[in-house]
Amino acid sequence: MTPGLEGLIHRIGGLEKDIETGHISYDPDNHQRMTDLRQAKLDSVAKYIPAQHVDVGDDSGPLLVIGWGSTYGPIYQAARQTGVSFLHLRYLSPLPDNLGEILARFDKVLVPEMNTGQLATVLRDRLGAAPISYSKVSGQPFLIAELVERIESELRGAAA
Amino acid sequence: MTRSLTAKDFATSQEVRWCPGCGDYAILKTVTKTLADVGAVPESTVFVSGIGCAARFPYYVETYGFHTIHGRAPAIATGLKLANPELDVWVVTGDGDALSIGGNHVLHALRRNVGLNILLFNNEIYGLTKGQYSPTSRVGTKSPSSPTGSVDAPVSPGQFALGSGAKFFARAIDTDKLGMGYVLQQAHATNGSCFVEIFQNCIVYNEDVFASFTDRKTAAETQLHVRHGEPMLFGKDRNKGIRFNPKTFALEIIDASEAADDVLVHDETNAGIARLLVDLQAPVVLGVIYRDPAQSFEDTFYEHHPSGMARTRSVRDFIKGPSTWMVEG
Repeated sequence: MTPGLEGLIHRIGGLEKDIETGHISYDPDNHQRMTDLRQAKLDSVAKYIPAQHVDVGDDSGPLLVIGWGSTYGPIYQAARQTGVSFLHLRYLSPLPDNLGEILARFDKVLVPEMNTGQLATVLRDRLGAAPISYSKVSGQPFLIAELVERIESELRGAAA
Repeated sequence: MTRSLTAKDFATSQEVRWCPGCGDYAILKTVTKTLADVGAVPESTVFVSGIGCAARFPYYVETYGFHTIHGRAPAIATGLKLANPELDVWVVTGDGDALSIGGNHVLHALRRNVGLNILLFNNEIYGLTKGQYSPTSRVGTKSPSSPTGSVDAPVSPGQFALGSGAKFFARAIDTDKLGMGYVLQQAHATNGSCFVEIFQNCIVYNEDVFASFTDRKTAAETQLHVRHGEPMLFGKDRNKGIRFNPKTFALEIIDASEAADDVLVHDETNAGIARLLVDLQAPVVLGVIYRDPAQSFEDTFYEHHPSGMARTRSVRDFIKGPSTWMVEG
């Protein structure tokens, strides 16, 4: 409702509102209900985002590489060269509903990231997964060659 | 059709929550009364605030209201005013919100001369977070964040506003209904950014910080209420006046009964004198200290906009209009 319209005057802001009337509320129980309601709204976003798919390679196998953001290019090439699967995450909060099922179909999950392992932490926290974090914070992008080397080393480890 | 509204019509059903004795109650009362006095249309009026005690203000005024992001009320208000220049947009902010967190937003709103009435509730302290010293706190202010006294020099809201290019700067005291009412009416009637500093007494964390000039018993001697075209006189018998000394480039207090011709006559458009008036400590200058209106940002913006603001009808009339139609294809 745009300001300027008669009969629709209202005020919006950050103070907690009553779950029924929308008036300012300082009631503790109301705050609990409103916080739960907001979290449910956020969680329900997962229903409206596309289901996750595996970008490169098979839907199951020995190794899945998960990337997000600017690392798409080198991971994509490295996955093609090594024949492992690659999944590029486009939604981080909430995560796609089917992500856990996909992860469960792989023996190992490798998460190359240009930070100290934030996505790996999120995957552990949200999905109870056990990803292997491959962190690089030198300020230089991942090289295809170093990704290939790491993937191959993980595959050798899986075989061993 | 015009509706005749009273201050009560601008009060909301919400329970007002400030500390008992807070100066904000008095300001709220004068603002709602002013809205009634100037014939403000509730649905065309918007109050925008950031964060702080003062920022609760929009909940208590029966108009549109936005309680927004710390320091960012001027940015949101600028968007509102540009989207619909017909709106009467008020920004309510505090000394921390306006001059620390939102310092740059206030600066840019003022230099652009966006058509906003910006009300700065200055209590020289962060009240909502329990009393830390603020950007307007005087040196030596003892607070939880400056236990041995603050060492930062305070910013002068008036100098900040004028330095940012404000075309309107006025001052009032929270409990001075007449003085604030007048200043708010003038702000409402003036185009462009109108910056109003209101001395607000924080009874809990900074009580009586302005008492040296707000005390009613001594007000005649400690306050100078300026009016455009009138001589700058004060004192119990209005026998003291302000003179400009061209040799020192400073204002001085003189005995008006002896040198009446020397007393400055207030000229709102005089930016140089305004800067001197802002700094005067005894007496403290109240009223419209500076006003030299220029074309507002929204008007300039639409002159450059391809539409040229060539609206054949107002947004409100358009939406509320009697005719509706469907596009079929």
